[in-house]
Amino acid sequence: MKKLNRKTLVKTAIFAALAAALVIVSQFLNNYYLQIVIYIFMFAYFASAWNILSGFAGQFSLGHAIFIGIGAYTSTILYTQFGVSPWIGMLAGGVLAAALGILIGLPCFKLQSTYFTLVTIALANIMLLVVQSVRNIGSIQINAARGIMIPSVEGNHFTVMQFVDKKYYLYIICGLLAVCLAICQWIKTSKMGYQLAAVANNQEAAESLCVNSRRLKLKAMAISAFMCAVGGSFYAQLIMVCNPARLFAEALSDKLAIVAMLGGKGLVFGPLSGALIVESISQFATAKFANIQGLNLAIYGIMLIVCIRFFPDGILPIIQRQVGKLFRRKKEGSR
Amino acid sequence: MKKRFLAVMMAAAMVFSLAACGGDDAGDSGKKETKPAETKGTEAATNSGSEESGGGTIKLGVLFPYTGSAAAVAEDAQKGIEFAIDEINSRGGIASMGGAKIELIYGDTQSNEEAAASEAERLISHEGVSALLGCYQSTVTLSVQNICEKYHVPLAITCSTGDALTEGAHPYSVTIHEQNMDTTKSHAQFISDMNAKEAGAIKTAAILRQNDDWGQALGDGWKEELAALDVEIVVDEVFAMDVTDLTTVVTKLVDKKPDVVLNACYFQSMSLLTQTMAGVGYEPKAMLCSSSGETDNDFIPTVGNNADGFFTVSGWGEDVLASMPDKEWIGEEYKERNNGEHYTAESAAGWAAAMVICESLEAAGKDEPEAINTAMRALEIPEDSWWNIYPYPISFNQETGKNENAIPVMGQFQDTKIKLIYPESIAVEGTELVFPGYELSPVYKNN
Repeated sequence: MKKLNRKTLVKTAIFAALAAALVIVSQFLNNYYLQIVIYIFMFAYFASAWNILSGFAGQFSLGHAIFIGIGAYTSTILYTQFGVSPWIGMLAGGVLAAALGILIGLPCFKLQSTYFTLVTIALANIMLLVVQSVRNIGSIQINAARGIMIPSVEGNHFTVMQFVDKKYYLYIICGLLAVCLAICQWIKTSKMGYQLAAVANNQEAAESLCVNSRRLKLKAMAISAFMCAVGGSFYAQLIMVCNPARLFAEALSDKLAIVAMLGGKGLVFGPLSGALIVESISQFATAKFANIQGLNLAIYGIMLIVCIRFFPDGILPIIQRQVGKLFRRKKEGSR
Repeated sequence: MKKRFLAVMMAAAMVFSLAACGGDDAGDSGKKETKPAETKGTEAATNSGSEESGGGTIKLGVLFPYTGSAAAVAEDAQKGIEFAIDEINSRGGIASMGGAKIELIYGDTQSNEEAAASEAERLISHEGVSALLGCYQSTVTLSVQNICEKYHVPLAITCSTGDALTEGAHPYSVTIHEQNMDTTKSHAQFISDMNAKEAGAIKTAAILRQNDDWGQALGDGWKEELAALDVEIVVDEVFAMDVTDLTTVVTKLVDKKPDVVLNACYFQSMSLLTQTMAGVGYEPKAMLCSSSGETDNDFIPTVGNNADGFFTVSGWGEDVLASMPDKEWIGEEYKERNNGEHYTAESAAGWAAAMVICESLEAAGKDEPEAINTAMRALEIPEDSWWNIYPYPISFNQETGKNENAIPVMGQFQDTKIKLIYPESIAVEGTELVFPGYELSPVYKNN
């Protein structure tokens, strides 16, 4: 008990120190650097949410942009057409996405491995085409391919989630990421996490031990979809426009998978490590080689090839191994 | 393990070298940091203004999709902008600022709003640019327009024609050339003129458009205009930007035989549509294009004379210069600079946007964004100004920022060249409109 308290205290102190460091650092960064940090954390958040279904449960999805889009559109429609605060819209979008996730999961979880992935790609494309073609649902304006603009409000307004000062967006996304990581950690160390790992490794074997794999996967899908949609609302408030070609795009779904896999699929902090690498490279390459056609993406691509070729399990396990070795050596040295 | 270690080192080296490059920039321009207008706009503006007065360099941000399918268009616009800036710099820079020279800083929107917003932030907060130009796709430009309004930095919208960009109040952006609404009106005027010349010449129409905001805006506009003209829509097709087969669409056209085909296609789909139509031996009386894929420098080399007879409503065309003898040098010099490439509508838009910013700098006498914006909105550029290559004057609506004088020009593909035919004032002597357009088509000639 004593040991546990000490551990908890240390963890709390680390998180408090990190939060304090973030607040201090954010005061010195200009809006451009803040924007980069926001994107890093935002993609870490999305990839962590994706990781719940595709990492922990082993159901590889390439259609998670559906949930991001639903979250973005729900909060934006509620705000622009009904005057509802994006904070409430965020939760509404989350619930809607979770419900849709379950609806998708009910028939699709009968499929295994690649077939499930193919279905998610198809569903995302169908969703994109539907949103690009539907102008309105009753009195609700979707605006088809034109998308929806969020009218900007001057100054910093918490209730409508619009800030001139980017650091407030940073605080929000850090809060969301912290909650998401806490949920991931909880899932990973709970009975659900062990059962999910069993299902991901060998579904038949897990089922023979009375694990209800379908129900478990539906649970993971609902949580993952809810989290993605909440992030989607944040994303819309950040870029101030809902463009279906971006929000429901295959490229966005792929990016979540790339970020999580580069960091370490199935690990709690894997997606965060992946986002740090992918977004940093992407942003710096874009900033430095903007006017040389394609060079920024070529650099980005080369980095991905290097990572995939040499770290197929992600960067985080390698870092963890190296740190572990270092500690062991120190211990041995002190004996 | 050694290999992995090497790979880690390689990855780290690349990341750090990139980071270091970023750091150098911060060093160069960090002192000229701009902050959102809401919080410290005046302070930032004063800093930047005082630094540059009396010579030195003025930074302008250029945002275009340098990667992806729209990169070719971005390249054309960039060439126009660079040409204009080189011209101003070689003429002694901005005279009212002691001959200050202009430097361009580029940003890649990657055709997405998130990257565009990030790059706009970088150019404004990190590079300290005084004004921005860009960004081609209208939804992408909308997100940059938002950022510019937040920072109170002027934006000369270039190559974006979305009506939303000029709907409502936009105090920090201007549009110089035509918008979608002007394009659909021009198409309607053409149909109306053809029907006036020959009653019942155009009774049916087909609408073919890409599934994006631009295509949708044009589609909506066409439907409205065609209903007013009592022209029946017999084919209405929407396709994806990366479409690879348009046989079904063309089969429908052959079946319904519309008198006019209105289309909104980017380069890839426009080339595909032209070649598929030529393959089945079909061309309508009037193929009305919307200044996109068909004006691309690679279009003619790709389709050859299969597009002869097509009409294009364009913001600009090389023949405009033929009707302005004192400005023909602009076209010639452009070709010389760019290995004989055609001066496209996008290059013209880039040239004009850069010149508008330079005129604003000249009028403001300082590179403070707020002062440039005020000067820009008060500009009155006559049609005969030495650099104005548009057949209309340039001035802006104070609320929306739209150049109300902008009218699209209409051209026809004749012998693999776009000949301007409308308005009549810009038509070169000896150039005549050929209607039905299929009379020029190789399919018709061969039969």
